[in-house]
Amino acid sequence: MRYSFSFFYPILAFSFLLIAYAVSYPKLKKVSRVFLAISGLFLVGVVFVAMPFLFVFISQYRYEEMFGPEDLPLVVATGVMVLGVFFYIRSRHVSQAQLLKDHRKYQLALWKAALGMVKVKELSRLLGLIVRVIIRSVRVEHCSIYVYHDKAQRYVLKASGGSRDGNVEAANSIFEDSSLVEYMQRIQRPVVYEEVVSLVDGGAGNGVIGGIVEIMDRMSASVVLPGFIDGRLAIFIVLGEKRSGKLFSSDELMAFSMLCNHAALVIENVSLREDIHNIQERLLKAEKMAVLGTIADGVSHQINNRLHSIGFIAGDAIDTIRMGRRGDGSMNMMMDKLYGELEYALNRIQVNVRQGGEVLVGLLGYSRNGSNGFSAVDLNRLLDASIEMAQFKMMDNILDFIRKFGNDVPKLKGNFTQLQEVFFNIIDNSYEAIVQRNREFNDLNYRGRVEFSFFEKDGMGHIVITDNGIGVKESDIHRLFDPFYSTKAEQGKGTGLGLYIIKKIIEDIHKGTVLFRSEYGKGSQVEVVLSVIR
Amino acid sequence: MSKLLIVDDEIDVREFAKRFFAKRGIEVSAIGDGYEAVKVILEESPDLVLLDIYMDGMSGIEVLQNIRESGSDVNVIMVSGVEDEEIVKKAHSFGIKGYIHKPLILEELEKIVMAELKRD
Repeated sequence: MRYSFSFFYPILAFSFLLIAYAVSYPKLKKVSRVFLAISGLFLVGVVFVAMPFLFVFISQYRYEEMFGPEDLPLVVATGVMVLGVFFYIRSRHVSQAQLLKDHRKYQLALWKAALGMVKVKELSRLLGLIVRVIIRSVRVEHCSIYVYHDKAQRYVLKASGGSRDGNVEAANSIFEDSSLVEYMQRIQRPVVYEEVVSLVDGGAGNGVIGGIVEIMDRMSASVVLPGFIDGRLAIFIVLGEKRSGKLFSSDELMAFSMLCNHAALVIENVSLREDIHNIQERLLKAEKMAVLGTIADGVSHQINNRLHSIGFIAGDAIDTIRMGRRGDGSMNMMMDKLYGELEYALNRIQVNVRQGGEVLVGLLGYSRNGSNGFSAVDLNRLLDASIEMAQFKMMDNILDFIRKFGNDVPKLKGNFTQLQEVFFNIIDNSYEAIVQRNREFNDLNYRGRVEFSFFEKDGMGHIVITDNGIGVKESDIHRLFDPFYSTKAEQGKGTGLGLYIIKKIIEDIHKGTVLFRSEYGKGSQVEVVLSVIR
Repeated sequence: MSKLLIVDDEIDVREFAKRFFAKRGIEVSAIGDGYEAVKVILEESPDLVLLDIYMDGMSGIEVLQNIRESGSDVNVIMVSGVEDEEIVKKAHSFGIKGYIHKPLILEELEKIVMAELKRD
C-alpha cells in the first residue's frame, strides 16, 4: 500500500505554525514557560515527522511503497524547516542569554559603583569615581557630570573624563543654556541624540528642539542622563558615543537613569555632609573665639588694673620728686640731675601706661570719652611713628620705604595711637613677607620694597600699602583675618594677631574698611579706608 | 579740710592715691571693701567719693545703690576699667558726678578731683 505524500501537508502546515510561534515568542514574558512550550511543541513536531517512519516500521511497509522519489524534496524541505525552526529558537535563546549576561555585568558594575559611591566621603573624589566607572563599564568615549550650583543658580561641570576631541563644550565649566535642562525636566527621562534629531526631522519644527540638537552636537553628547531629587533636576550626566558605535538600548538607558538618580542622591548627601563639616568648623571657631573673647576680656581687665596701679605709683613718685626738686633749693646739681632723670623715666612709664590702655581699648573695641579719642591725624606723622616702631625689630637694611605722596594729603579722623598700631602691624607683615621671599627665592637682584600711596574718593581717604614680599596663597587669604591664624613659618614670630586687630580697629572703632589683595610670589597689598577731615 | 574717700580693691591704687592727695592737704581715706565703704560713707559723709566699679564682694554699683537708698547724696565719681553701657546707665540713674576710665594718669585725676572739691 502506498500512502500519498499528502501526509506531509499537515507536517508542513505545522512547521509554519512552529515558525510563527518562534517569531512571536519574544512577546511572551516568562522565558522558562516559552522554553517548555517550545520543547513540548518540538516533541510534538518530532512525533509527527517520525510518525510515518514509525508506521512503516510497525506496518512492515517498505519505504519505497510509502514514499515515491517525488516526495524527496518535500521531505527535505520539511526537515530543513523543522530544523531551521529549532536553530532559530536556539539562537534567540543564546542571544537572550548573552543579553542577560551583559545585563548582569552592568548590574554588577553599577552595584559596585553604587556601593563605592556610598563609601566616598569627598565630593570631587566621588564624582571622579562615577565618571571612571561609567567610562569603564559602559565603554563610552567620554563622560561629564554637571551639578547644580545653588549660588550661581546654574549647572557647573564638576567632573569629566575620556577623550576630549570634539568635547569642546566640556571646557565650559558653567552650563549656561537652559533649554536642554527644561526639556529634561519636562520629559523626565534621558535625552537621546538620535531621538531629538528624529524629532527635528519629523518636523517638530520648533526651534527649541533644534537648539538642543546643536548643544548636544557641541558637547558630542550621545545621551544626557538626568538625575532628579524630589522632582528637581539636581545633576545631569553627559555620555559620549559608545566605543563600539552601538546605540544605547532602552534597558541600558533605564539602568543608567536609575544610576543617575542614585548618583544625584549620593552627591547631594556628600555635599550636604561637606556643608555640615564646614558649619561645624565655623561653629567651633566661633565658640573658640567666644571663649577667647571672654578670656581676653578677663585678661585685659586684669592688665588694665595693673596699668592703672603702675600709673598711680609712677604718678605719685613723680609728684614726690617734683616737690622735692622745687623745695628748699638745698639740692645740689648732681642730685637734681639724678632726680631729673628719675622724673623723666617715671614720665615715660606713664606714657607707656597710657599707650597700654589705648591698645586694650583697641583690642576690646570699646570707646573712651564718647568721642573715641579721635583727632585729626596727619598721615605722614602717623607713618613716621609706625615705621619707627617697626624699625626696632627690623634687621639689616633689607627694604626701602617709598612714599608716593607729599605733605598735601588731607588729615584723617582717627585715634593716633590705634592707627599707629594698625600701620605698625601692616608694615611688620610686609617686612616678614619680604624676609620670607628672600629666604625662598634667593634672587640676588631682589630688593624689598614697601610703598605707601594715598587717594581720596567720596570723602574717604584710601591709604594703600604695597609690598613685594612673598605674598599669600589664595587658599590662605580668607583665613588671614582670623585672630590666631598665622602664615609665619616660625613659632613665636608674632602671634598672628595683627590682621585681626587691624580689622577690629579700622572697622569697628573707626567705621572704615580694610581690603587685602595678594598674589603668591608677587606681593601683597593692604588698603585702609578712613574718614577724611576737611 | 576736704574729705576724700577712695574705694578701690587695688592696694597700690589706695596707697599711692592717698599719698598723692594727702600732700595737697586733703583728708584722704581709702577702703578696699564695698560693705565697709557703705558704712563709712553713711557715717562720715565725705565730700567726694572715688568709687571703683569692679570689686570682689560688693561692687561699686551696689555700693552706690545702697548709699542712695539710705538717703545719702554724697558726690560720687565712678571709676571703671571696662565700659559696659548698662552699667554706665545704671550708675547715672543713681546720680553720679562723673565717670572715668582706667588706666588714669594721676595728674588727670588730680585735676578732676580738685575741680570737684573746689565747687563745694
